[in-house]
This record gives sequence, structure tokens and C-alpha cells, in this order.
Amino acid sequence: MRTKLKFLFFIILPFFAYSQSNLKGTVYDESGEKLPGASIMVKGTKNGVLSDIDGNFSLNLKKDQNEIIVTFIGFNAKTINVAKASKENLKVVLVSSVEQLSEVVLVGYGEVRKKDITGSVVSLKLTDDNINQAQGVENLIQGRAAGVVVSAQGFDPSSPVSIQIRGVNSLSGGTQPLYVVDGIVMGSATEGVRNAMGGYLDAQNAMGAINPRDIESIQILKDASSTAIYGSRGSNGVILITTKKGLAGKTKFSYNMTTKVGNVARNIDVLDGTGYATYLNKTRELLGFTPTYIVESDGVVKDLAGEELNRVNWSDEIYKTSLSYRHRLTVSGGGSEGNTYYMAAGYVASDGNVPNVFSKSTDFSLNLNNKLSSKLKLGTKIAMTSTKNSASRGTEFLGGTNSSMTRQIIGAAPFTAYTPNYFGVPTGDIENVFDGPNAWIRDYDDDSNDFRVLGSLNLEYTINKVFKYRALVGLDYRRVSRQVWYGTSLFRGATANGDAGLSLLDRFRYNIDNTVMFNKTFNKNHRIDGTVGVVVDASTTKNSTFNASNFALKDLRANGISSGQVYQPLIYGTTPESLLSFLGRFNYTYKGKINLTATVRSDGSSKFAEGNKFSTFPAFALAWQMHKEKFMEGFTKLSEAKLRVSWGMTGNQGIRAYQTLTPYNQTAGPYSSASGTGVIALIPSNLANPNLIWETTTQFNTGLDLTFFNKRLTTTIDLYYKDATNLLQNLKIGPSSGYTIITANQGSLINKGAEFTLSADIIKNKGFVWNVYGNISKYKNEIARLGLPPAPFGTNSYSAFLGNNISQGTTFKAPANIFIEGEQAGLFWGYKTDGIINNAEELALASSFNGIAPVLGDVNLVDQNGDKIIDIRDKTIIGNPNPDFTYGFGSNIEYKGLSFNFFFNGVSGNDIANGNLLQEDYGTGNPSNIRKEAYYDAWTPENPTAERPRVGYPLNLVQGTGFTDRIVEDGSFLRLSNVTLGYRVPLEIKAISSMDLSFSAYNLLLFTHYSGYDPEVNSFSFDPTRLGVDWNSFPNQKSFSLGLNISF
Amino acid sequence: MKKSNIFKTLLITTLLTGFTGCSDLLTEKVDTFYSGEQVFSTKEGIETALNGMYFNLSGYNYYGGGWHSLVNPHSGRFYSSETASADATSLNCTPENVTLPNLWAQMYVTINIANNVIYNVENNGVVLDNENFALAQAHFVRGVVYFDLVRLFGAVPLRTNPASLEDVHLAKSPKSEIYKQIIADFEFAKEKLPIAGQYLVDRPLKWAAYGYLAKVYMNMAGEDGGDPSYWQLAYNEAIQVYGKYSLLPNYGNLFTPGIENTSESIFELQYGANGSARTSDMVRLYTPAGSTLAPPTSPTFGRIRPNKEIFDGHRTQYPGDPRIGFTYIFDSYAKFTPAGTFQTVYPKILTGNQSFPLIRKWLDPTYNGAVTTRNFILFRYADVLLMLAEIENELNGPANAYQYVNPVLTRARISSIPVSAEPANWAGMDKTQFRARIMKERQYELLSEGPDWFDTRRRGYEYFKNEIVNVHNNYAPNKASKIDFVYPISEKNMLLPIPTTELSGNLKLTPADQNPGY
Repeated sequence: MRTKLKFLFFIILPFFAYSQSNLKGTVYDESGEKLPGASIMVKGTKNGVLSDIDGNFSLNLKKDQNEIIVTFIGFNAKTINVAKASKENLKVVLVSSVEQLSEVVLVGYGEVRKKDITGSVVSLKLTDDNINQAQGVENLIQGRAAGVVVSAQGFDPSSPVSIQIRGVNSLSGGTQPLYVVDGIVMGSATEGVRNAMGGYLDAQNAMGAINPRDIESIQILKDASSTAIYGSRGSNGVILITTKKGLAGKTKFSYNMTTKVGNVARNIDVLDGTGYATYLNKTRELLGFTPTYIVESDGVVKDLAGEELNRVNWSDEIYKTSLSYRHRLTVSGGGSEGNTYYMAAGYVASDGNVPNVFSKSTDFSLNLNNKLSSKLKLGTKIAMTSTKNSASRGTEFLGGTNSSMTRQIIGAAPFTAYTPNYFGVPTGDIENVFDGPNAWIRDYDDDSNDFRVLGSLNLEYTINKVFKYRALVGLDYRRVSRQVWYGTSLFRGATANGDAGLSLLDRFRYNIDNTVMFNKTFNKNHRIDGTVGVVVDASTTKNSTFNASNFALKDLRANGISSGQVYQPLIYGTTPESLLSFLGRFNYTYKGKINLTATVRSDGSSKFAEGNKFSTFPAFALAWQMHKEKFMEGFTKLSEAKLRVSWGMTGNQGIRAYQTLTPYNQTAGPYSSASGTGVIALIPSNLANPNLIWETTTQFNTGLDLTFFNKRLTTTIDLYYKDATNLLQNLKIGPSSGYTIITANQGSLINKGAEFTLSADIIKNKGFVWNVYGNISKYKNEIARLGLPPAPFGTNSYSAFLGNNISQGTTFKAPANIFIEGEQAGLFWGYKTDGIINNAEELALASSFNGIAPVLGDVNLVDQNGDKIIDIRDKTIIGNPNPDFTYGFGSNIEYKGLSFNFFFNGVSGNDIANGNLLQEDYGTGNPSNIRKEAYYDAWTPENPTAERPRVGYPLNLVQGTGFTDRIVEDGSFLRLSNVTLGYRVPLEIKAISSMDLSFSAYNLLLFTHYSGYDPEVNSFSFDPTRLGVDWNSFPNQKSFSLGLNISF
Repeated sequence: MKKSNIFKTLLITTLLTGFTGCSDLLTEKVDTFYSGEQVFSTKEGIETALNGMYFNLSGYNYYGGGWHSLVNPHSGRFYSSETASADATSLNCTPENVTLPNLWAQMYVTINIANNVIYNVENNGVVLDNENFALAQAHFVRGVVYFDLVRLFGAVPLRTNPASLEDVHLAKSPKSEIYKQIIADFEFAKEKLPIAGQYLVDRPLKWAAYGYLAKVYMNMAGEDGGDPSYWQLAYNEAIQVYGKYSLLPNYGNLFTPGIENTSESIFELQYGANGSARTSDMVRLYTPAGSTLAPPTSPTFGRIRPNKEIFDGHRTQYPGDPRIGFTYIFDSYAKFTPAGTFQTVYPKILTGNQSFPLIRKWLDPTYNGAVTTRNFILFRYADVLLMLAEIENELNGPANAYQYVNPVLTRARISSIPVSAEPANWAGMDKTQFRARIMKERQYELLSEGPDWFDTRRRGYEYFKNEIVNVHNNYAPNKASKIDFVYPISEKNMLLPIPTTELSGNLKLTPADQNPGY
């Protein structure tokens, strides 16, 4: 492009006149469309104009003013010497900056031209609309890249998001991709503080430090050929993020503001006060006890003393409209000599749907590029984010009504100021005690501060035409403090007289990349290029936790942790991790038609014992640009056709440090001496496995990129086959060893899949653009080998193991998932049921559980082995959390200044274990409130076709069976995740170059049969042995936002 | 020229930094924990490992809690309102019981630490003056845990070395092998454990090992298929303990907070209000909910309660026995809210959750909700006297056995002011009567102190069926309460099931290794 312009310049040169002072011209984009609103400035002055609606401008130049700068948002600025140019009809062609960048794609330690890519790489084209809608990086990715599944762990503003590329790749060795931002290797997405208090501590978002508005482009590396350069870190895929840089030209200011309101998208209907009282009375009556309420004919409920109870709908009472807003200012620009700058500062505040839940963050980032000499370039980056989160409690290990706010909203008795809803012991004013969910609002804190600095220095030295040397130092520092408080209105706080926990994380990570890049063309037909280098990647993590309870004064809440009268001594630990790697990539291009890539990385990790530290990961890829072959000339509608084939290996070392040693750690508390004082106690904390080696994934990928109709229609198809061997697993071992797990390499996992992406510009006219795009991907995993001897599971004999228990409390204290050799990972494992026992005949055939004989109206548990006793031998496969396929599609329409776009995403064919139903969908007579249908559609002799068991169905049975297919639901859904209407305000104000308004709606429509709050949830998304479970997560929001974007 | 110099310098520096750091960079540095070498190379280090061993023996899942919430209800003498453990409480214990895997795991964690102490102290290459006491305590505790294991589970994996990668999976050893190891451990301990004044006051003396050996032999003599010749061996060991300890003058002092490590205590687990990690859950498990017996800011559960026939049996046998008042909470207890009110319980309430008395032995008026200062005496001198009485009766009849049991009864009588007439001294029984009475007497004296499960089983299945299961199932108030379980008549309850975690995780075990009936 640039040579063409130069050529043009020289052609028109002779026609230029010399003496005129008035300059007239027209600004065009590369496609020849005229550009209105471009800024034309006389260099070194404040004298300038904007081009009119037809792209024309006219400018007065003084005698010695020979240079003008033409700028327009989204285009590269252009400096033109007009001394010898035509002053009457100057034609200025601006080149789109976006377009130019997309031609070169980052592939890790270097970049390649997009058309020369040999591997499977998704390059996300980000539009302003995309960015405006995004809360975080995950929103830019969700549904937009085939084979990439984004799932929420919860719907708090601080909830983490899990991203899985091409299926479940590991059974414990970490499943999250590697994030690299401008060459900085980021800490893991699963990183978080340790738990100070026992029980369960929700993970929080560890990727919040990247502001979507700073992102220029995202590359998702999927196949082994592209990820092998990241060797040991690449097996879960790599997400490369490039942030915005300044562009030469006039300083540009841009300000963005968004305001968003949201409401709970879907609710769960539970019994109202009257229904609840009727239900409990009925249950007690059936069990032979006296009723606890007086229910009057007008619905008024009184207690036995005759006091009227205040009926309440807790959802209405608690869920509120959330208000979120964002402000962001960016300043960018630069001189023509390659010295550019980009600065941004912003503030984001997001609310949850329950009071006291929010996330607020302030960030600042700076990207500088300096050309130190003709051969030396320096890139400097610094980005800081400070986030304050306040969360409530959804997912919990215990999962009882007392231990989670979600459970309280659903399960608390629907009366206010009602004694059984108080967990505290009222010692003073009733105002100081809060009931039901209010207790969680008023007496629970989970506050965290997350401070993060990313920084890098990137020095690039051009040695000669062939070689370039690059030294990059990347830093990622993160400090998190998180404090949790349980006041005395909560069960936990009440039993401890106030309970506070403080957890600190202090982590410093750095990477030093030394790379030499080369690029050489021989006699026009052969070109080689590539990278070799040495990379060091190391981190030190310091964790400390402190816990105190029994507070005489509680006003300071968790801040007063030092005054707890019962306390745990500080627990402190450091974890160093390091990697030393040697890498090389060689690309060979023949006649611009055939591209060959060979990659190798040799990694040494501190996590393995001497002798097992190093491993080498090779990869090869071939791409054939078929459209350049003669035989393709006949296909005139085909613009490009590229066939890609790749094979390679990557590794995974995502295990905890120190697994090859047996460290002695302190016990949870001290032992006590005869005098009652604490004495230090040390115990061996894990079983050393010096034989640990890398988990290795071998991946084969083949793909076809086709574009038609002058690049208006683009399609990509990829097929892959991944085989992960020597899986790093936390194997459960017999506790008779003195340990319950050991980290070991065992088994292999196969993932195979197909991905299809399509993008079409249906209309691309002057002023009217209509684009549709979509992707669909299907994958299937299979546990190829587990290395476990077959053992009886149910009536079968499998080589298999069970996942972790979902809860440690009384409900769902069972694993949901089974991992069977030869099957998909994580199938649901539990009891099959066959409706309700509704006549004597069925009763005679029904089986007993735990010695509890069945009666009419009970759930009919299926006796698999025919012994008429339901026990673990009757468990069987009752569902599959793995989807058949995932998809996303959307469309952009732009007409003059108006833009409209929408985006759908969906998942099909997966099951969800809705653990909440165990507490909501059985009328056990337990004082927890239940769903309406659990009472109104309960079995009675008069209603024998009911789908739910009788009221008074024993809680022992619900809890004892743990997991039945009654709580397995179809998790398929299709969601209209966002719709945006944008409008570029036509302004004739000099100071403002553009102004855009946008109105967006999120989560507007959701099509699903799932009965919980939201199907797109995975409560334990970072635990690969608890898949597809919904456990007390908060509801999702439906929200609307208004955004304003001004550039000047 | 100049440029290439710059390049060379850069490249050389970087490669150098890359390589020199290399060997060091990839070594895992032990920064914030100790290595085995560090722990076992000093006297103080060894003590920290011993503390770790006692910490687990007394831990939340073992004697601090799991024992009480699983083993006591499963003994047939207690009810537990914990619905999640209803399987065990109703004597239908499943291998997935909520507490069972944790109890089993913590028992073996304790054994593994004992093995680590023994192995490392023997191989640390230095001589330290607390080595013998350390080895003796490790052998003693290992004996205690295996003795618990073999009685609760029968044949189990026998591990006497620190676990390593090579022997993670281990088959079960027959009961006889386990007993052999237990005897060897106590024999070692009785030689090497200290005598009074030589070492820490809260640690077992050598007589503790003699006492445990006597228990081992009694068990081997009395159980189904047992060999009566073991009674003599039991006597030989138990008589060594006679006179080495003394009974406290007042029964109630045994359960009075602050009175600890007394002359009656043979093996006592230590607790203190240190830290906030729950080490003992006994106070919460036994103290009634909402009562004034614990601070209002530290709510309790009162989950584990004696069965009606157990309470009524004691009152019928010895009306006026002062031990009843120290052992049980019955009729009613005072509640905090509303102040001045009372919660009535058995025998004033006959149906529902409150139709049980409660245990008074484990109260802590200063309980802070997390940790307690209340110690747990695992073995005390009254137990030895009752053992001697039982052994003597088995060997020679009751004539010389009264001298052992009567001091226990006397102490009970003088524990109240004025002194009670009950329990009266024993006299004039025949051997069979004596045997039956001594088993009951153990319940009256030691209820909820640990031996309940063993005392209901060690006389064989017929004893368990007739004296526990049938008595419970035929007791009229139980039938009327609507809440008591009917115990199954099944010999499987002579053992607990091996937890599924062990059967599936230990590759040397097969389903055939599960205990009979499970």
C-alpha cells in the first residue's frame, strides 16, 4: 500500500504548481470512499479544518507552511509535504489503522502476515461497539470464537469467568488458557487468596486488570502449531492481547461514558406466606404433629400465640435494580518519527442485584513507543488497576440455608421479624438483629482490594536487513487483600460471636524474553523468517491468612480483626515457581504459496524433580494458499483458499509447587500443653512424588480458509484431534497411606472437534453496510485411559474415579461426576428415578433406602441390581454435562450515522445438575421455603399423577440419596446476549471530531428449559472434577445501558 | 562495526544471565516450611512432630469430634439428631457416611506421623536425649490407633513405615497380624515410656502401656472366637497398673473444667483455647442448644444424646447414684431466651426431638464457640479397676473381684453431700451375675468417655444383640417417641464398614475386602 502511494506521489509530482497559498483537496479512504470529518492541520500550528460531507476541504497556507497533517479516527495519520503538490485538487488517501493491523498477526514471540498463518488462530476484529459492550475480556471472546467456551462461575460483579479452549484438556492440571498481554505473561486466571476461615471462599476474577477499552486486538491460539512456542504453558490454548498504541498525528482525546441499569433476569417462585404456613401445617398434620400456624381464610397467618405474621416475598424485598457506570478518557498521539503515546484513565463501578454488592475499579495505562535511533526502538508499557470488590455469598461448601445468601432469599420463612429467621441470639435491641437475607446484607462482608501493575520494556534492535534482536522484560505484580466478616446475625457469626478472616496475596511475576528474529528472501521464491530465543519466566507468591473470632466490640467488623479474642496465628507461605525455556520458530515460504512452520520449545520447570525438569515440545505446520495456483484461476468467485495442516506437542505443569517433596507444615491449630497453652505441631503435608513429569498434549489440526466474492464472504473450518497423556491428576488414594491425594501422572484424555466460522458482508455500499457472522463448534472428549484397575461402580465394572463432593454440608454431599475410561469426562453419577410411587402395585415393587421402607407418594428410586435395596450399587449414569455444540451468531448493520448490531450465543445438549432443587423441590417439612410446585404439585392420593413426591417426604431420603436424576436438567440455551443501537451525531463543531451515542440491552432474551436462575453457570468452574453443577449461584441480570463517546 | 558490538554485548549478556541463573532458577526453594531433616535433627524439632501426632489423635475428625458423632451413636447407646449421619445412628452405617471417611483418614494420618517419628528418629544420624521418649510415645500412639482400628474395622491395612510412592497402595492384614503389631508397640512403649516426673505431665507414663495391653488381651479373650486364656495375660498387665494411680475423691471433679491431668488420669488428650481452628467439637455436640450451660455467644447443638433405656437403666439400677447428676441433663434445662425459661426434655417430654436426656460431662462455661479448654480423658484409673474386677471374675470368680469394683462405687457414693446410699458395695454374686453387672457398671461409670462402642461389642454378637439391640427395640418409650430408630438385627454391626474412599483409592483392595454385610 505504502509503495503504491509513493508511486502515485511521484506520478502527480510534475503537475504541481508552486505559488498558490490556498490549498484545496479531498480526503478518501483506501477503497476510494470520501471521508467526511477528517482533520487537516497545518503542521506546527493550530490552524486546521475538517473535511466536509464530500470529503472536501480548503485551507489557507502561509508562505513557508509546506506540511499538513491529515488525521481521522481509525486511520493512520498522514503528513504530506504540499510544497510541490497540487494546491487545487490534492487527493489524500488515509489508510485504516485497523485494517493494517489485521494484516499482521501476533503469534507469540513474533508476528506473521495473516495470510501466511499456518496454525489455527482466531483473530478477533474488535469494533467500537464490541468494546463498548464489554465488561471484561471474556465478553469480547464469548461466543465469538469457535471452540472457545466462556462460562460464569457466578453473577456477582466480582465473579470469575472460566475460559476453555477446545474442551476439557486436563483432569486437574489446570484448564485455563495462558494470557499474554503485550508480551507480559500474566498470572493464572485461577489465582486468588487463600481461605482464612475454613469453609468455602469463592474465587474472584483475576483477569480484571485488562480493560477492554485498551485492547487493540485479541489473538486466540488454538492448535499446537501456534501454541507450541509457549511449550509448557500452551496446552490449554493461549490468548494474546495487544493493547492500543498511539498513532502519529495530532493529539486525540476521547471520552467515554456508559450508564447501565440491570434487574434480575429470572426469578424462582417460592411459596408465599400463606402457602408456606399451609404447607408446613399440612406436613406436620401428615406426620402426626400439631400445626405451628393459624391460617385464616383471608390468607392471614398467625402464630400459635395469635400474633399476625408479616408475610413477605424475599426476592422482591431483596433484589434491587443495579446501577453501573463507566468513565474513561484516553489521550493518544505522537510525532511522525515513530514516537507515539497512548494514555488512558478510567473508573468503573458495577453493582450487583443485592445491596452491598459491587465492584469498583480505577485504572491507568500508558503505552509509549520511541524510536531511539534508526535501528533502535523502545516500547514502554505500564498499566495499573485498583479494584475494590464487595461480594455476598452464593456458592458454598455447606450449602445449607444458614450458609449462603441465595439460600436465604429462597429458603427463609416468608415472614419478616420472625424468630426462626434469626440466627443470632438477640441480646439487645431488636434493630441490631437482622433476619433471613437481611442478615447477609447487614452482617456479612466480603471485601477485597485488588491492586495490579503490568509493565514492560520492549527493546528492538534492527541488526541488519535480516536480523532483529528483541529484549522484553515483562512484569505483573498483584496484591490482593480480602476480608470476610460474619456478624452475629448469621449462623456462623453467632456461633463464634463474630468471625473475621483476612487473606493477603502478594505476587510478583516477571518474564525476560531474549529473542532474535530473522527474515530473508532468496531469489523471490524462497523466504525464511523466524525467531530463536531464551525465555525466563518466574514468580514468587506470598500468601498469608489470619482469622479471629469472639469480638467484644463488633463495630469495626473485619477491620477490627486484631481485637478478636480467639484467633488463629498468622499463616504465611511463599511459593516460588520458575521456568527456563529455549525456543525457536522457523517459517519457510515458497513463492508466497506454501508456508511451512517448525516450532520447538524446550522448557525446564521448578515444579519437577531433578532429571524430570526439562521437556521439549516440537510442532510442524503447513499451509497451502491454493488460490495462487494456476488450476484455481477458473474459480473467479473464490478470492482466497488456504489449506492448513499442523501437528505438535504442548505441555502442562499446572500443579501446585512442592509436589516432589514432603514438607512439614504447621497443623491447623496448635496442640495444647497441660497448662492449656499452645505448642507448635508440625506434620508432613503431602506425599512426595519425585517421578512427576510434564503432562503432554499432542494435537493434530487441519483447517480450510475460504473467502469468496472479493473477500465479502469468509469461512473457516477446522478439525482437530488432541490427545493429552501423562495427565497430571490429584489422584485420590486410600487414606490408609496417611494422605488422601497424591499428585501423579496418570491416564490420557482425547478431545476431538470441529469448528466452523462464517462472516459475510451482505451489503457493503457507500453508507450502508450489513454484515452477518457466526460460528459453531462441536467437541467430544473421551477419557482414553485412566490407569486404574476396573472396580465395581453400580452394577458395572469400570476403570473410573468419582469427582469431588459437591458440598461438605448435609445436602448434595456426594460427587456429581464420574470419570470413566472410554467415556466422556464428568458424566453425572447418581440414582435413576422412575416417577412417584402411586399405587399399591408399584409400592410392592419399590425398594427401600437406608432401611427406610417406601410408602405411597415417595420417589421411586430405580433398583439397578434387583436386591430391593437402594444403595451405592444402584448408582448409574444419569446425565452428561458436556455440550453437543456451542455457537454464536450476530449481525452488524450500519447506515449513515446509524449502527445496529446484535449477538446471540448458545449451547446445546448439555445437562446441568441443579443442586438447588434438593432444597427447593421437595416438600420435606423442613422449615426451608420451597418452590410453589413442590407443594401444589405434590403427590396426594387425590393427585396420583403429580410429578413431585408427597409432602413430608423424608429429608433423610433427599439428603441420603445425594444425587438423583430428578435434579438433572437440560442446560441447552440460546441467549440474545446483546443488542446495540449506535448513532454518530453529525456535528459541525470544530472542537469535536466525532460524537457517538449508543444504547445497548444485555441478556434481553433467554430460551431455555432450565428452571434455575441461569443455565450459563458452572459453580465450580476451576475444579475439573465438579462439572456442570449449579450450586447456589446468584441470578443473572438483564440490563440496559446508554453510552456516549466523544473524540476531539 | 559499532552496531555489531552492541549486538554482541547484548546477546552475550542475555545468554549469560539466562544460563548462570539456570541451575539455581529451577530449584524449588524451601522457604516457609520445614524439611524432614530440619524437624528431626533437633530435640525441639522432634517434640513438634510428636505434638503433630497428638494433634491428629485428638483432632476434629477423631477423638475431638468424629468419634462422638459417629462411633458413639453407632454403639447403640446414643441418638444423634444429625440427619446426614442417620445411617450410622440407625445402625445402617454406609461406607459413605459423612463422618466415617474423615475418621478413618485421621486415624491413619496419626499412624503415618507415628511412623515418620519412628523412622526419622531411628535414622536421623544424631543422638538426642528425648529420642527414647519420642520413640516410646510414637509406638504407644500407633498401638492405640491400631487397637481402635482393629476393633472398629477388623482386618485393615497395616503400615509401620512412612508412606512412600512405592507402597501407597497396601492390602489388608489379618486381625492376628494387627494384634501382633499392637502388642509389640505396647511392649516397646511399656519399656521406654517415662515414669512420673521424668517428662511432660500431660504425656502417658509406662503404666498406660500396661493398661492398654491389658485391654488388648481382654478384647482377645472376650470377643466371638476369643481365647479365654488371654484373661491371664490381661491380668498380668493390668495388675501392674494397680496402685500406680488413684481415684479422685469426687466423681464430679473428673468433669469439672480446670481440673486436669489428675492422679486418676492415665491417658488424657489436651485441649486449650488456642487458635480458632476447631480441634474439639465435643462441647457443641453434647451441650443442649440455647441453654445457659454455654455462653450465649457460643451456641451449641446438643446433638448427641443418650438413649432412653440407657438413662432409665442407670436410674433403675441405682436410684440416687450421684453419678446420674454428673452424667445426665434430664427433665429440663434453663434457656437463655426468653430469659428465665426452661426447655423440658426426657423424661418430661416423650415424643420428638426433645424426648432424650443429654450428657452433662462435657460442658464448658467459658466455651468461645471455636475451641475449648476441656481435656478428654481417654483412659482413667477407674476403668483399670473395673477391668481388674472383670478379669479377676473371669479367672477366679467374684470372691477377690469386689476389692476392685467397690472403691469405684464408694467414690461414687461420696461424690454427693450428703453421701448417698447408692451405689452400694457389691457382695454375694455368682460369676455370671458379676459378669453381667460389671458390663453395666462400666456404662454407668464411663458413659460417653470412649469405651461405649467397644463395651457393647467385645462380649460377642449374642451379647450385643440381646443387651443392646433387643433392649432398645423393645423399650416402650422408644416406640412411643416417633423418632427413635428401630435397630436392625444384623451381625454386620459388629464392625463398621470400610469407607468407600479407601476401597476405591487403595488399589490393593477389592470389593471383597469390605466387611461382611456391607
